[in-house]
Amino acid sequence: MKRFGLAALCGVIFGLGLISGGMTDPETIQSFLMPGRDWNPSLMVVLGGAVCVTFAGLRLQKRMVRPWYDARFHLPGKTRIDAHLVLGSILFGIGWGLIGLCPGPAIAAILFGGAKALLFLVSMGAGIALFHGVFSRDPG
Amino acid sequence: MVAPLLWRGISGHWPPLTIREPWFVVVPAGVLVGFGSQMACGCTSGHGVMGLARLSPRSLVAVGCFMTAAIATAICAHHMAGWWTRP
Repeated sequence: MKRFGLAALCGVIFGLGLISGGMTDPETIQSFLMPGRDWNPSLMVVLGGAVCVTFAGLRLQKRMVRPWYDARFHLPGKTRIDAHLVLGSILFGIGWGLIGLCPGPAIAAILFGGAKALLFLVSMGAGIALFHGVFSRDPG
Repeated sequence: MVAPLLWRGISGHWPPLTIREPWFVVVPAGVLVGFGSQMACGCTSGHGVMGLARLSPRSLVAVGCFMTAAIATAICAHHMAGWWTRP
């Protein structure tokens, strides 16, 4: 229960960060991706700030033997740079560039994003399912 | 989902969110984002925030790839916007 509460709290903090940074509005994202007169560097500032805070958090994490409410830390173990990583990132980038929504903000926007944001979320789910359908026999 | 409610409660209005693209652009974009983030094992938060903070070379490559693809797509989409916003 404590574990669930902490996870929920982290989700709320992350969501508030995305909203106050303007990251839930696809227009902010698109104006970052479009270099020119109306270029908006918000995304770079929010992402850069988040990286700095996370970097500090990770220093703290390295001093801990185990997390508060779990037996061990779950850190990504893959180090290989392969075709899946590159191709997947490019496909992700095309979709992200088209609309300006990525998974975090799309989930945050469930209650206020309207029909199109929901349609995006459902399509995203379909894309995830499609990937697992296609690659279920061959875990990348 | 809780954060926007809190935001609404404190500020009195919902966060802004504008999607100008029609549904036939929204659907393939969503599918690409879902498929791509699964294939690359991460998205803007996973590789962009966590991966870069961990100084992971894998994430640096991922961020470079999706940023480049997104900027190229956004520029192309901008030039095509007149075509799909036309009634």
